[in-house]
Order: sequence, then structure tokens, then C-alpha cells
Amino acid sequence: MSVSEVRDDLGQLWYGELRGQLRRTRTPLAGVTDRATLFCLEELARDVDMRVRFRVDRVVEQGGRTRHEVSGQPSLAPTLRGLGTDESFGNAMASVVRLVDNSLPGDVGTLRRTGPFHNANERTLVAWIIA
Amino acid sequence: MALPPNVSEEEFASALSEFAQAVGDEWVFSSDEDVALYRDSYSIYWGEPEERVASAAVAPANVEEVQQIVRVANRYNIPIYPISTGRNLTYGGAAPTLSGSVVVDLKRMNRVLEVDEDRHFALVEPGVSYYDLYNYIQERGLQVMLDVPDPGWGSPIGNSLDHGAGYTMAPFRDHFGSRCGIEFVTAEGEIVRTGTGAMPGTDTWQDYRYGVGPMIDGLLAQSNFGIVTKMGFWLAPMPETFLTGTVTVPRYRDFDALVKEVSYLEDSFLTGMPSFGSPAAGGGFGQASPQMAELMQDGWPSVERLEEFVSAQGRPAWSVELRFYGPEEVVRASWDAAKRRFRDRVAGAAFEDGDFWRLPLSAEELATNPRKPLLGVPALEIFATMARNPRTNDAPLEGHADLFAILPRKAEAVHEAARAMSDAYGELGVPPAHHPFSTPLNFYSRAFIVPAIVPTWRDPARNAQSRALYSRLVDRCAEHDWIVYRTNPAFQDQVVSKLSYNDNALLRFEEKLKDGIDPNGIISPGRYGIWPASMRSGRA
Repeated sequence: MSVSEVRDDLGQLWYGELRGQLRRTRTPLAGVTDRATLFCLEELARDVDMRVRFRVDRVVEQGGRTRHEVSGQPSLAPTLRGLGTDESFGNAMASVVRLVDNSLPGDVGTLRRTGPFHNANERTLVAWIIA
Repeated sequence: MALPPNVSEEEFASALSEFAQAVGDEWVFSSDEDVALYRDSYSIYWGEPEERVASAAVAPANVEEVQQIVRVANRYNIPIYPISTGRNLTYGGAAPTLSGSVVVDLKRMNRVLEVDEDRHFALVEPGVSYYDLYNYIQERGLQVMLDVPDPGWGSPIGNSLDHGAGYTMAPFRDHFGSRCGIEFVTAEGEIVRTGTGAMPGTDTWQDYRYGVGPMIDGLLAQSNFGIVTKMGFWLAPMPETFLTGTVTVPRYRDFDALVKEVSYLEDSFLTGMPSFGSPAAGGGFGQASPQMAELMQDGWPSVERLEEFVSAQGRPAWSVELRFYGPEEVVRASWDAAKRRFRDRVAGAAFEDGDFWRLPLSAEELATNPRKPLLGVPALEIFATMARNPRTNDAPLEGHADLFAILPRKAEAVHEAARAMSDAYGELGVPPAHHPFSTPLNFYSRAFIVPAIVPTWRDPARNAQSRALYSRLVDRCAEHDWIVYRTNPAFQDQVVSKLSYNDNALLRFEEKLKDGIDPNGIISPGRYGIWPASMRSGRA
């Protein structure tokens, strides 16, 4: 499994590495990013006929409470809800990716749930799978 | 699944089958989940019945497959909507103008056919993005500079065909203006090449664009007369250096002199794209600050009041950043000449040196450079920047629909536009985005643009308000004789209806062309107000 870090400009990662790899082999992508980055990835993924299959938006509300908004393949939800951003994240996501079942009907509601400028962006991280 | 208008499910299934024969099963997309990828992320009708959605998508690999698609579409009267990368957000994205159209996704036609670093041109297919072209140039060490829009994930062909623009020098940042040679497939499935490309074997297709006889290139932009499959672009030789300098002028009234002098410098080919601002107002573009709202609370301020405001701020009323490209001795001399001319013409003009870089920057230097588009380097950083903008986050928008009014390069026109747009916002109870210190954009060197960035949402009620605002802005621009040069499909009919010279003679001429060369009206019906005869009666 290869791991990449995304800084402000996703473009070089996508056009320089990911897209070429995915054109050869449509390997699932998993990650935790802000919403703006996922928005860009979702638009870019159309290049290789891939789409968001699952996402958990971790929204920190005004009072500091955390709320998880889950959409996509239901069987993945319990595993993804518990994910953090620590060192175990990579392994945990790798195990979740194996659970993705592309043969199941997709959930259109998982696609384009937010635009890039959502007001909760700064306080929201999204764990997602693109396949 | 949406169906094309007046096409039965059986007919559509047969057409999809024929599309699959043309391009292969795996390149025809018709499931709900696949088709949803072609929704417009910024749609101002998101989730409403009027949202423009595709019925299917088909992705050809080459021009011969495009020909076959066009022939199938003609057999079944199926509207098709070509996209290059489909990321023309704010102007419809990948979604068709007419719901039920089949998107022809040209992403597989992604070859950079040629880049000539001695004659400074490129020839590309529609699926090539600015990133692709940039990376091609970098990998080969070619000494040419692109001009890119921001964000840079679109394609040179798609962007230029919608009259997109960039940030460097005048001849290059007008992307359609820098084209040279087009290949397109007609609605009947014929391949046509414009310019000298009409002569087989020519070696000047990307050098001389007129050919001989009528030049029809313009018919392919913001239109529906063909599917562009190749296009040439003139590129800039890689400049040796990049230099910026900022000029400030003290008084509100000085904007007139500032504009005239900047126009002189640009029209003399001494500078690249200027960037106007207002230090006194804390900026010139974007949502009005609370300070500006307070200044306007009793109506549009008088010039005297505005001069008092500027004095109270202790900062110059206006600024412009000038950008120079070329050999070091030339850019430094140009900046010196600019300073001398401003000093001679505007009392109190002041100057500040800015960036100076030797080009091309290394990959390491570019990694942390926040001004990539000014150097012809594509970037997506604008999304991260806007997402972290506190003003953006105060307004929980999901996207935007941009309205760009074209104005003469006159200070009074800029002020008039700011006031007219501010009034339009106010009439609908929307906080104004324009103020007396609003500044123009200069994407096109010979005209100013005053933009209105209208938010779009996932909330139908808020989108209804945004549509009312956009529509009112279109009307207000027309009342002032300002054209809206590029617009979202939801407003293309309205915008085009304002071209009313001689009873809309221009549109009537375009309709005659449409009827003649696309009698079934299969290519992008309704794009920029050009509807086939069979759909014209219901047009607003």
C-alpha cells in the first residue's frame, strides 16, 4: 500500500502520480482530508471512473461535541466511525478498503455531499473511500 | 434515469447499444451512480427538478469514435453534450445545458500532439488538462511558458472554448485569442480543420491561423456547431525573469489617472496583467467588509465623503501591482519607466518593489510559491485558500455562479458598476459585495471586468434567492449596456436575450447556421441560447 501526504495543491499528486496508477489498476483510495480536498478528489476521480463509495464527516460542533455523518456502504460504518488520525490510521483504512464491495449498488447520496466552501470546513475532517 | 426528450426507453436502449459498439461497453455510462458523476457540483438548481442532468455518458478514444457517436445521435435524435474535462465550475461543470442529453466525455482523447519550443506553440486534444500540458513541457525541459486559469485542472481546449482567461501577458491570457488551428467534427460526422490545417500536409497549422477565406474558429466557442477534437495554442517563450512592483496613489479621484496609465503600459506591451486594489478599503475585490458597509449605510457616499474616508484611514486610496516578464535588464527598465510615468502624472504616487525571480523556478522553489498561476504553473491551491478564508466561512456557501460584466477601461465605469451591483444586492436584501472601492479584473487587456460572485447552495430556498439575484444582475447590466461575457447555463438564454441590436439579429443569424449545419439539433441544444428549431418555441 502506498501512502501520500496532501498539502495545499492536490494537483501534482493527482496528475503526477495517482491518476496514472489508477488508469493502470483501479485500486481503491482511502484517506482523511478536509472537505475541500475531498471535493477536488471527487471531481478528479471521474477521470478514472471512480467515485466516493463511503464517507464519514467528523463535524466538530460549536460546543466542542463531535458528530459523525456517515454515508455509503452500511457495513463499513462501525469500523470507520472509530478511526483516528494517529499512526494506526493507515492500517485501519487498509483493512476497511478490503471491505469495500464494488458489486453492491452505489449510493448516489454519497456523491457530492458538500462543496469546497462549506462553513464547517475548518472544523471538519472526512474519512473517505474512493473506489 | 433521465431520458433524452422525446426518446422512448426502447430507442434509448438501442442508442446506448450502438454507442457501446462504437466505443466499447466499458466506456458507456448509464447507471444512476455513473451519471451522478456528471452533475454540476455548483448547480444553482441542486436537487430541484430544473437541475440539468445527463441521461448517460459516453467516452470516445479518438476522432473516429466521435464521428460514430455523432452519427448514432443523429439516427436517434439524441442530444449530446461534449465536455473536455468537465470542470468548468460556476459555468455548468460536466452537466449538459439540456437535461437528458448524453455527455460526450472527451477525457480519453488526452494526447499532447506537439509542443514546439522554437516556434512556441502546442497542439493538444480536448482531454489534455493544463497539468498534463505543463508536465509534458517540464519532463522534456522545453523552454515555453503556459498561461493557465486558476484552478488549473481544466483543459486548454475547454477553457478557451468558453472564453476563459489566465494571468500572464495579454496575448496569452486570452485563451481563445491565443489559439491557432482547430479540428472539429460536425453534426453530420465530418472532420473539418480550420486555418491552414485545411490544406493537407501543411506545416503552418499552428503558425498562421487565418488560412484563406472566412475564419470560422469563433463559431466553435460558446456554441454548439461542432465537437472540437484538436486545437493549437500559441505559447510564450520562457521569460528569463519575473518582476513585480506596486504603485499606490493617495486620493479617491486618482483612480482615473491610475487606470489611464496602466492601460498605456499594457497596451504598449510593457507589463503583464495588472492587479488593482484599495489599501484604504482593505482590499478591492470580494465581500464588502463591515467598514465598507458602514460607509454605505446612508447610501452611496459622495466623492468628498470618500476622500475624507481615505484621509482618515491614513492609507492610499488605490494600488496596482504591475508584473513584468522578460530579460532582467528589460523588466527593470520597464519598471523604472512605469515609475517615471506615474510620478509625472499623479501627485503623491508611491512605489514599492515586489518579487523578482529568475525563471523557470525549480520544483523546490515552486512548491512553496503561492503565485504559481502568474508564472503559468497550474495549481489547485485556490480551493484550500478559499476554504480557509474567514469571510467565506461566514457564509456557508457550497459553490458559486459567477457573473462577469465587461466594461470600458474607465474609472467612472468601474464606480458605476460597483454602485449598480450594490444596489441590486440591496434591493433583494442581500449584503452587498461591491462598494465604492471595488476594483476591476483585467483578464482581457482591452476591457475591465467587474465580477459578482453569486453563492450557490444545497438549499433550494437559498438557491432561489441566488437565482433572483443573478437574474437581477443580468438585467441591471443590460440596463447599463454592459455585456455578461460568460455565464452559467441557467442564465444563458437571459444573457443572450440582451443582445438585442436589430431585433436580436445576431442570435437569429446563429439559429440559421444551427438549422443548416445541425438540422436535428443534436449538439449541445440551448448552449448560449442557440436552440434547434424544434425547441425554439418554448424558449423564454
